[in-house]
Amino acid sequence: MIESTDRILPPILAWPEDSLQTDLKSRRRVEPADDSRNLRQHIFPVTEEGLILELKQDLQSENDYYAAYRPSLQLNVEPTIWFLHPDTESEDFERDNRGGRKRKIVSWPSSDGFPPQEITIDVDSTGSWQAKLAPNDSELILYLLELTRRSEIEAELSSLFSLATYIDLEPGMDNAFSLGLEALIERYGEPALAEIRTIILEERTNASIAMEALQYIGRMDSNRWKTERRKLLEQCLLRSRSAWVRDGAGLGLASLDDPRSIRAVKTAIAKESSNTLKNDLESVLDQLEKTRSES
Amino acid sequence: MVYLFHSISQKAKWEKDTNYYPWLKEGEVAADVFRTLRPSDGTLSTYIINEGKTRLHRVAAAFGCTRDSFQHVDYALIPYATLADAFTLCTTPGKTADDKVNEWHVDIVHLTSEKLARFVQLIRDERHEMDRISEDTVKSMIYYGVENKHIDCDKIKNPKMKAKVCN
Repeated sequence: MIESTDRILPPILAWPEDSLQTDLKSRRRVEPADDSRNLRQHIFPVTEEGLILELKQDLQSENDYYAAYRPSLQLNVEPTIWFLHPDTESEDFERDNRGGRKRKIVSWPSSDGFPPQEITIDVDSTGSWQAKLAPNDSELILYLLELTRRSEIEAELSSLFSLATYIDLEPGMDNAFSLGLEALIERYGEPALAEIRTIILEERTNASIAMEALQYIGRMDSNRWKTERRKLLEQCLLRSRSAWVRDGAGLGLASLDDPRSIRAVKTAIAKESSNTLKNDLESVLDQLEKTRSES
Repeated sequence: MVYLFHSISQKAKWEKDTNYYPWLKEGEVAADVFRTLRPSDGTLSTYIINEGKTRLHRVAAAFGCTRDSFQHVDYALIPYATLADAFTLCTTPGKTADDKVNEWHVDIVHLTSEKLARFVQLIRDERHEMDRISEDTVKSMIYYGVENKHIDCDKIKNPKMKAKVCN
């Protein structure tokens, strides 16, 4: 039997049922509340036997399967949890006494820092697979929530950066890309900024778009995530290979106008190979030092 | 010497970045520079800047007012005579919220792709002044313009900018 959600979930994860339905559907952050009911049932398709996982054949290697879970709410992603290499003919599989099914308890490989978990795989007489994961602690729910969120962020940012290649990014003007970026950062915060940093520094988008994105990130009206935004801009300023991207990061830092960036800007000036960009960064430095002296 | 001011969307793109684009040869810049000029209907919008360049910040403020948010202004200053020799210039009223700046407006008209390429070559080869007015300065100049009635709030067409500077 599944324990009641109230006992499994720590208070921080306890959300009222109504707000959970509303807010997860609209994919907004929800605030913790005292009233906790049925969280697990709302997000994950849990039965009395555990969390049902979907086993899918890996298209590139027919003998490999992976397990995925499908959140019961209509989220637009289906995060994959781990890879399995099941072999039904191995002696690890035993016939059980339930209509000829084979069953095996396998250990969940420790990936993404999550401790190994045991899962049960059932194979029915038609060869169809089903995997179940007994949700025995709140860490699992936290982990799956995090996976859901991370997958969503990746998917949404990937779409947004693709969109940017088709629209006119006119300087100083709002557009679908700038507004979308702002909305995603507002909604997800640090994980979204971390993913943007990866997209830019691993050059998964072109330098023109990265340059614009960094300016938007510096110029956002919102005061939220300012420290995280500043760190992202500093990292791109110091680590990008592209002078355009470094320029975008410098402009973003000028818009944020946070004197805590002085050290990073000084380091960037010292190592900058472009004289023009060096001059522009010196202007940013002057501005930040002026702001510090006035505050 | 009198100049023509043309706003450039990202002057960094005029930098020869061989670290990122190793295929660029000596003196070459990436084709993206064409996008930084933002021609429209075969026309480039410019403003006449006097010899002492005292008009520069006023033009930048008027130009900055057309945007949704405060932002730096990247620009090129090209000698008027150089452009008058090579292109068709047409004095037309500008569309900013500063009437005086509007009087300084000049369009480079009848631009073909070849002429635009010539324009790019001219800026690149003759190393005309290309610079940036910071967001901080543009913002200060806009507020200064509003306070001193250079910028007419009723003529700021961008509602976001109007809400920022006129309320």
